[in-house]
Amino acid sequence: MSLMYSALLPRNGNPWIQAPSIPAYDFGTGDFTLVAMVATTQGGPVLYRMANDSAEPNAGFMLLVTSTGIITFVTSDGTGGQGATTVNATNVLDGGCHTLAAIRRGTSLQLVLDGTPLECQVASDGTPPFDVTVDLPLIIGGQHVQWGEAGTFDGTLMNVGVWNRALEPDELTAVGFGRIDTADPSLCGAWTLDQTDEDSSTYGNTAMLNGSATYTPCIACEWTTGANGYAYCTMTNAPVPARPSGARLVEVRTIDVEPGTPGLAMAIMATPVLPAFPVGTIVRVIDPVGNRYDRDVNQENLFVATHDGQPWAMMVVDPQPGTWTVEIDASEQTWFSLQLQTIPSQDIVETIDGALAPLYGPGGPAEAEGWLDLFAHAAVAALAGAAVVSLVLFSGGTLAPAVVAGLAAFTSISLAESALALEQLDHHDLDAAYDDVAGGAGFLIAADPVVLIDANVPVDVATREGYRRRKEVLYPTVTMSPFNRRRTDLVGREVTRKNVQSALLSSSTGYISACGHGLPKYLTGWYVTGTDGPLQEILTVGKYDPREVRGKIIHFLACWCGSKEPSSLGRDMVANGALAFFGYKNPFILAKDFADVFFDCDIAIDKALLAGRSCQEAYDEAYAKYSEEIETLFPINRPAAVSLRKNRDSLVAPTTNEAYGNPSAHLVRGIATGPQRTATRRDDAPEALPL
Amino acid sequence: MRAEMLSQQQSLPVGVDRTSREPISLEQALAAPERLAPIAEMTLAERSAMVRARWAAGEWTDLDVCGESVDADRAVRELEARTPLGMLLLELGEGAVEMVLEDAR
Repeated sequence: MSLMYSALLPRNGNPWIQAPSIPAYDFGTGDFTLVAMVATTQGGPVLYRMANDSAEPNAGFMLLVTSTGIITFVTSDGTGGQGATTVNATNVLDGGCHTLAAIRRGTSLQLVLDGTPLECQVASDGTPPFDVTVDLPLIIGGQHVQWGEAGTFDGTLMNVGVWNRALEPDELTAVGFGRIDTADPSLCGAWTLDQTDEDSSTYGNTAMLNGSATYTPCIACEWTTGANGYAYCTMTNAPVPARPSGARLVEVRTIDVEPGTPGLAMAIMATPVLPAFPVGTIVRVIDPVGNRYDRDVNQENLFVATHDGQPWAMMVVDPQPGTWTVEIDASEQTWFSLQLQTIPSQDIVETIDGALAPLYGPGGPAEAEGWLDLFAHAAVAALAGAAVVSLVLFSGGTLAPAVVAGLAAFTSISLAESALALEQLDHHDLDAAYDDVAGGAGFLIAADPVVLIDANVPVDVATREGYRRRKEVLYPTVTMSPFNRRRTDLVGREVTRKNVQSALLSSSTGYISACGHGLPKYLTGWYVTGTDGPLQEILTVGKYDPREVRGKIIHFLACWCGSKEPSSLGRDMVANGALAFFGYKNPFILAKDFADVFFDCDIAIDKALLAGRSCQEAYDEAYAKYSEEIETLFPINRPAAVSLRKNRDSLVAPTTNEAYGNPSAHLVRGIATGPQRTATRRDDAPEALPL
Repeated sequence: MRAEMLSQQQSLPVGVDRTSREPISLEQALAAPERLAPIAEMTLAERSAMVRARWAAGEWTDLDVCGESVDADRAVRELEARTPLGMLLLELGEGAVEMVLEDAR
């Protein structure tokens, strides 16, 4: 697919593009198809091969858009004729790009706009089909003699094609976007009008430009619809450095969301492989009731990630039925690709595959070349991600937050990985498919919170030094991790019961990593009052709301909380819905000159989880690091080495006992997932601080 | 490094003689392994004495245990008083002996 430029055909310049008459256009009484992509507000003749030197049309065919949005397709043998006219005015004059097709199949005429057959009034003067053969040139955007309507098309045209057969609906979808098989023997002419009048069909019938037509850049758009409420569109720009211009490109696309559609996803990327936002681009997403999505939102049914007030990626669960609009305003020199799509209400994989196959074909965009096709890769990948997520969303009656789907919609993975994910989906291996999508991504952005808690009591070596090291090693990792977007830090005097409760209730999923003093029944934070005296309990068995821990992976760098007794805090939190708990069943021991070694071993758990590892893997990595450090320390300091070994053997996790949760739980999508996931949320809970 | 460490450990007690109940050094244990009584067969007093002797010989590092700072003097007091902390420190000392023996063999 090449860079799309379209022929600009202003009315006052009276231009048209004329392909010399060749026998290939002599369809006689046979089937044929005319296709063009148009963008106009005034209409005019689109394709014309019809003598018109009197008040009545002569032999030939013509396709016309009237100034009221009516579309007309006429065939005639000079003595009689057949015409199909849309019953109602269409939206073809809205200035956006539309694919228009006119098909004669046997005795019937059909008009199709954007893949949708139009209701037409068909009238005949005589018995169809009529012989349309006539020795006249084929005129694009003009007519031989003006009659009744404008003499030239007022707007832009591209991807014009003519076939001597009736194309099938799937074929119309592809050819409308210039995906034309130029070796197709039924193809009689194909003009991309991509700064060229050349005919890419085997006939090579180069057209000639007449009048003052110019070429203008435009955003390449592709869209299609499928069964089960599936709708898809993409808007892409791939500038050519050799043709710099300061022009702004503006495009408006809409998709219709049917009632019952479970999800709607949108994402825009600056490159096909890295989902950076295309700086300087203005994006507007407007729902059927006029709402705009220009603020970060992370709720159960809506996820919006913005960049400088522009929607960057969004996922809507149960979107408002009706017409959703995306407007884009970008520099001609800005690369971008925007995808907007719904999630089918059922048979997700089959539906998406069926709808996109006409666009991308069985070989997919991998068989083509160029940036636009790379963007197409990303589009398909995003869809695969959305499909995976949607299955997760709607499988087993478990509702996951919209952010999950937003993540996948924002995921750029290769076609092969998409295909693998889809294949696994077809085998109903949801976890594997999801992991493929997430794991194959070069980038993921999540909005699920990570809560870091450090008691950092100044007079206490353990929590003070623990915070110092975590601040050096862990906090930057969390900031850089692609697996979280919101981080809440509670440090020192902020570590109160009230603050901890608020932070934990602000999300139904996520990761909590805390460093404080612990006993089997509770974890402590800052002082109860002032800067002296007892430390306050921030999480105590029997005194916390189960929603604080439900659906989360929890890691406490604290003594005793992982005690083996059944009612210890770690086990109690898992029993109350936490996905997993990491902690220590005994008091941990710091060898003072080697404290950082211990902290680093413990932080290995955080790092592994934040890198998307499962709890099993996080435990294994931490255990391996412990063992390696013990081996290193042993010749240097036996007491330090044996202390570290004691800590290692005191570590509890889902791996060591199922009472500590699910070993396969992980944060790959930036959220905690697992069988105990729930989706409750307190709307009155404060939002965590954005990074 | 490891050879140097083992050299330093040669004279430190790693247990008691099965028969005489006298302390046995690493060097002696390696020379006649059959003489060494397993830790599980040692009395608490024998184990405490062994660990204290090792601490006194420098096999000690200051610790922080669940918020409690522990230097060598406190470690000895806790051990003599058989407090939970003392018993934990004893366990650590015995663990060090186990590791040394494993490494030396």
